[in-house]
Amino acid sequence: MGRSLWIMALVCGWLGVVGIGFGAMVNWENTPGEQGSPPARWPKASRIARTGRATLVIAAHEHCPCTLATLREISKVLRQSPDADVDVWAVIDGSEPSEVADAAAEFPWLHVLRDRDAAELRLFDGLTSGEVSLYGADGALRYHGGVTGSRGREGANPGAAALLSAILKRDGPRAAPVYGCAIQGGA
Amino acid sequence: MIPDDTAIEARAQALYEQHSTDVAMRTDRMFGMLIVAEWVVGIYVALTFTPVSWNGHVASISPHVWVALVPGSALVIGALTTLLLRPGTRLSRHVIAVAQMGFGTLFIHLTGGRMETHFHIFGSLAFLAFYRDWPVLITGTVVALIDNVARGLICPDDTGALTALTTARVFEHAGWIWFEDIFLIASCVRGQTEMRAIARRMAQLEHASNLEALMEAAEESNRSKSEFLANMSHEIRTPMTAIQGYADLLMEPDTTESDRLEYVQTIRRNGEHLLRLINDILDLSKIEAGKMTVEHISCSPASVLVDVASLMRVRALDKALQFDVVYETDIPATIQSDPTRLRQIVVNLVGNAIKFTERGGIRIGVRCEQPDSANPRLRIAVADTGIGMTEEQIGVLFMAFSQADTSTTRRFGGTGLGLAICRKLAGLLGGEVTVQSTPGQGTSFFLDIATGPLDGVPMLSGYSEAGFQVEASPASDARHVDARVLLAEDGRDNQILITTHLRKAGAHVTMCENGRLAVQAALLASASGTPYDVILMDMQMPELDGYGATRMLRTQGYKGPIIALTAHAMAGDREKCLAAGCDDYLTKPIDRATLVEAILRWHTPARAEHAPPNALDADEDDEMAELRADFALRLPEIASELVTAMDAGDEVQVRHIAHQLKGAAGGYGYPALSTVAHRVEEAARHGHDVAAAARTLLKAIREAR
Repeated sequence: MGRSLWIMALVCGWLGVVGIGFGAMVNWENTPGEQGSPPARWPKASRIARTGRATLVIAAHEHCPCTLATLREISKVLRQSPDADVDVWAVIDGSEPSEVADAAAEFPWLHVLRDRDAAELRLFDGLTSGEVSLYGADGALRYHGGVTGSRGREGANPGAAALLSAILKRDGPRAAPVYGCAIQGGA
Repeated sequence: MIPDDTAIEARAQALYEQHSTDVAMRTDRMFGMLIVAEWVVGIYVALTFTPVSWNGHVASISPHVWVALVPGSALVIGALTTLLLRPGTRLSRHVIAVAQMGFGTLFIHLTGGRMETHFHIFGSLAFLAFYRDWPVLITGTVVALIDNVARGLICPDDTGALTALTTARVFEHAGWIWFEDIFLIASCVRGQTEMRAIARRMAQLEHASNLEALMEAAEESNRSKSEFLANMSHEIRTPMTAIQGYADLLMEPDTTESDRLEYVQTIRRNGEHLLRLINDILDLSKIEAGKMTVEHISCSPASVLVDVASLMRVRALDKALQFDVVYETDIPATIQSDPTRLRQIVVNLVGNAIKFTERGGIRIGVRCEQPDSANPRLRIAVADTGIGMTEEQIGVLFMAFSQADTSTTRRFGGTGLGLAICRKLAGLLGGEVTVQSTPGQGTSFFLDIATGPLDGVPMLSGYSEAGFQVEASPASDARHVDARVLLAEDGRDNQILITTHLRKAGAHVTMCENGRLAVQAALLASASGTPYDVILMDMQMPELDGYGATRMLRTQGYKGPIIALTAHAMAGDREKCLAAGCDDYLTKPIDRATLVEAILRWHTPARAEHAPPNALDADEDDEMAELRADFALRLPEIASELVTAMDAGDEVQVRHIAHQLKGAAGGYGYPALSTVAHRVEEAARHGHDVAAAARTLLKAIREAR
């Protein structure tokens, strides 16, 4: 094999290693998490207090770094619907201090519920961190899914657009994939 | 395109390529450092923002960290490897482009697509434009776009790429990158154009600078030539003026006999000076024009020194100077050199030494240095106790027309070319002339020449000043030439002049006017048993010139010495004459001493039937003469013994006879015979061809008796 072919082979091998690594990362980022099946009507057993307004429930893993992107996307949605009457709750599993709980405290419009025994998460069947469920003032489920384009990635995406439509009571999809760490599972 | 333009274009291209390579290597180094820094930052960001991913309560290292570590390291390794192994090449910059844009992509992923990290993409493209090679931008852009598109291909449900909602945004992202690319590519192309223009301008300036340097060199050369010609004109005009002036005085009717003699002597002295000057100028011109050829033939340095000593000793003795020749080491019997030029150099150095020494003496020291090495050398040191020189005077000593100072010419005469010629001739002989001097104490000139390989060359020992004393002969002017000379010369003036010189020296001269008559006369004399001892052959004659006549004589088997006479003194004349069959070569005008010297060289009294081997001094005592006569009478007997030993193949006896003869012949005034006998002894001692040496000795004995 000539010298040029060796160089070409090395360069191709090098590009292959880099490409496979980056491909694996992109695949991981863009693989949706498992979604639960929240109740179609607001569950009366919930500890979240209803105020007669629409309620958005965010299921969150207490350590999932991707969840911050979800909170930011919801913040943008709320800015785009300033007249909407929506209470937003983050249901964070566990009760220990955590990065996600600390970050949630920085959003003034956000109510935080530490779900020590994960009873609330089970009630709304939240399986993936970032999975949101929007219930209208009448208690009906209006939207269920994710609000980011991929894991931890901010920016315009169908999930956030669908949530905005649901809040504004417009037509549109009422579901989207969710990207984040699994809340339930493992040990 | 004219040749100059072609050369400028070629130089411009070389400069452009050099500049491009410099730029590429400099940019390579910059990216080398930048990429290493980005790798470190990437790992830090991955560990800070997404160190782990979770599955319930089970944590695992985040794929971001793995990507920062593994493909990130691959990017660094690839970039640094090409940077180190193939810096400044197209390969290195394209690999670096991939690595740089790869880190930009990585940062975007690690930070969840933060807007600020997108600036890295645009910044990186701008950095890549430093290469001023627009295809590199294409490579970088392709890497950025692949990331954008790949997510859509891998995850078609993803929002980032191909879904209807974001397709426009994908094109928007790509559009902004291409937007930047357009300007960067234009910048690269412009940069290359400017680099080419700069390279061309530099090539033009270099060319102009070279031309200027060449002009200066040409002007300097012209100036030197003009100075040389001015000097030469002055040097020639001075004696010519004297000759003309004194010739005018001679024509005055009332000139007395004593004045007339003085005028003639002055004219003759100036004529001789003029002749020396012209000969020197010719020599110098030939050397400087590269036309001077030197021989590298086997010759005896001892013979050359004996010759020089015999010539110069008289002049030294005239000034009451001591004259010593000392062999400081054994010297080779023969060396590979040009005996004529070696003699010319040594004569010049010794002549100078005599000229500038009023008291004390001249010492010629001879030594062979490193005889066993691959580059043996012969050193001839000519030391005098003369006026000496300062450092400044030495500095201009070897320059043409330069003597120690201008008063030197007036006081001592000379052309001022001798040492310049000596140094150049020494260079042609593979050596040099150096000098050491102390003002008021004397000067030593050192001539070092290459001897050529000395393997198998006998080393002569036991030479001494005595050797020179024996061989030294009276001035040629005073020598008696007992020879029959045939002069072939068509010029009436030269016929009279040469015939007069020879008859005054005692020779019997037969004269003929062309080559054909010379051939007839020489062959007739040989046939009648009374061959001429020497033929002086003018080379330019009517009917048959000297070359043709000489060739015809040699073809007819004529063995006698033929000395060429020619008015030419140009390079190759001597070789041409020798090639025609002449034995020696003289240039006109003929100097009496030179003429006599040449004839004696080929017909010495030692070979005359009725003369002793050396000219007898007038005051030599009768007893010594009788002993010599007895020795001469014994020579046939010695020859007979030698023949017997040779026939019997008895090398021991041959060596014994040679040994005896070496000592006796020297004492009885047969130095040449002694030298030949010494060679036989040396040949026997070194196991060389004794028979050949013995035959030479036998011939020498027969000639001597």
